[in-house]
Amino acid sequence: MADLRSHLERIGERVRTAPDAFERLERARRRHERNRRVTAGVVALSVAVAGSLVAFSAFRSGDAVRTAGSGGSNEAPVEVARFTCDASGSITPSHSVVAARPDGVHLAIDNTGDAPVSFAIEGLGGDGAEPGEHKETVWQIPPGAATVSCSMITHGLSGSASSATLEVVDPNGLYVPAELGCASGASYGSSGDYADGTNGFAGDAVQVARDHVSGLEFDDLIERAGYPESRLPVVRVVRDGAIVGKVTLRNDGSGGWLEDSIQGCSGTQFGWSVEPTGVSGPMGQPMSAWDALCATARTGDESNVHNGADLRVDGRDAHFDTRCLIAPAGRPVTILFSNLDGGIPRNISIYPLTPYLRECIVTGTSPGGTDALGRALFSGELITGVDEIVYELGRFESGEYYFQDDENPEANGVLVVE
Amino acid sequence: MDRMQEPASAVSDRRAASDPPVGPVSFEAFFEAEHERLFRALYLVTGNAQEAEELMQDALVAVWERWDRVSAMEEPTGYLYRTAMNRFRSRLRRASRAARRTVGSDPGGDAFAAADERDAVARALARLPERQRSAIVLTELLGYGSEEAGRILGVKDVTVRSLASQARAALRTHLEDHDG
Repeated sequence: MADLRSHLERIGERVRTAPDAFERLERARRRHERNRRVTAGVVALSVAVAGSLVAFSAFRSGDAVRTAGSGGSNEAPVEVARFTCDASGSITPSHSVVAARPDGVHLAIDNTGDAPVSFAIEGLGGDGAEPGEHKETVWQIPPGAATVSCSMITHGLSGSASSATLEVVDPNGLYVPAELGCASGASYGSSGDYADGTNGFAGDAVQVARDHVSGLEFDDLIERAGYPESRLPVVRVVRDGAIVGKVTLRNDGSGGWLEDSIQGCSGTQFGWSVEPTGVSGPMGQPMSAWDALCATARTGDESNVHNGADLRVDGRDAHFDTRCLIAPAGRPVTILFSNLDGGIPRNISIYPLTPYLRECIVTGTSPGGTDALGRALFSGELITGVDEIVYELGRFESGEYYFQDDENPEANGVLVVE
Repeated sequence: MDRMQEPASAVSDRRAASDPPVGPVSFEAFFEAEHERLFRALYLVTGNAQEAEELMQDALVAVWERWDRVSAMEEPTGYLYRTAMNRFRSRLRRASRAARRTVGSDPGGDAFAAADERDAVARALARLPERQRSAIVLTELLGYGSEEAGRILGVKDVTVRSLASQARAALRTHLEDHDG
């Protein structure tokens, strides 16, 4: 065995990369980028089609849509794009090119009419301005063309709308794209709803997202996106080179961060978890697979060593003899652990169960490090086999918990306390 | 317990052979220095040349796309191997899920053993669990210390030592059976 390394080298030498390996890599990268552009294009096309349908339906309902200004001009960009909404409900831009700033794109509306106006940025939302009001607002408009519309509000109803095209330029490269690039073109979204006074989570916004967004996978790149100093920080989730998730956070008023909204591509299941999830994984395991784990532990009688206050677990070949333990709530629980792997250190520790850890249990895989684990609820002493030990776990409240061998985390399972 | 020796000299050899010069290097130079070794390591871990090439491409594309940041890291090679091993684990997870959906499928069809019937070491290697195989390739072939190998595999260093020790013991048993 002393020459194991040379054995390995010899086996490895039987394969060689192709002489044109770099060209193949370049092609792979181009394919990757093209797929990303195609998915982004599908999304953009969907948005354009949706916009056209809205405009068409507005036209059919009798609303006159008048357009003023045009994009793509050669005029110098301004810091604040100014628009005037007049008494007839028309919108007049003072400039058609605006430069992005670190906190976003600044728009100012002058309502010169004698009725309130509502103004909207297509795809992003809107605001209102009272008669005579000059209102400056900041928007997370990506570089490129945007449509700003204005309408008079009379008797609480919006009247005819007019729109202007605005070109946003980003000469300093401030904006990091956050638009979803879903392969299927389908996406979902949700927004956080909190009672007044709810405290958020302190710290860096990206780290807060990393800790509290569920449904993440290990390979996901989680990074700040949008404009770097936006009031509502945006964090994007990049998976396999495509943006599959977008999380917007808002300040709770005392420096903590809460979910403002979450968007994800169809097929992902991003959500907001009050409990730290660590790096989470896919959720929604088929219940049948999960239930099957405990089918054996639920059967039998007093001789069932995986069910009761005094449990027994054998560890052999870096695994346990069960993936499910069932214990009574509120009573002291013990585990007699026998490490049958000679010379190998092993133990049993217990942690809070997360969706990702459920996935690991069902698939029989390791969480891949300590990042995915929360604070240990019980840390079992390591014993080197062959040996055994009695762990006194104490009392647990009803619920499901994750257990694993810290040295061989593929050995894991669920502790059901009921 | 069969305690594994730290292959410190192998690490020095590896670094001497492949370390980029001080300061930023081009991705092309990094690729030239690393891709063959990565491919062979992945072949040993996966047992399948095609899968090894796909994983190598995936990992290298990911590194290329982030090269401005990766090239500034202390150990870009470690990042490359971490990325490759993460992709490998993701594939195993997906294969495991697919296997549950597809009755009778063989998620890990290992061409390695079939291709190397005559080689006892290759056959013995193919019989090792994936984690043990990864640990032995990283520590023995690539010369990583258990701490760095642990970072690449996402486990503790003591686990790497256990896995490598188990792998050596299993290889020894397989080879003794073969010789006997």
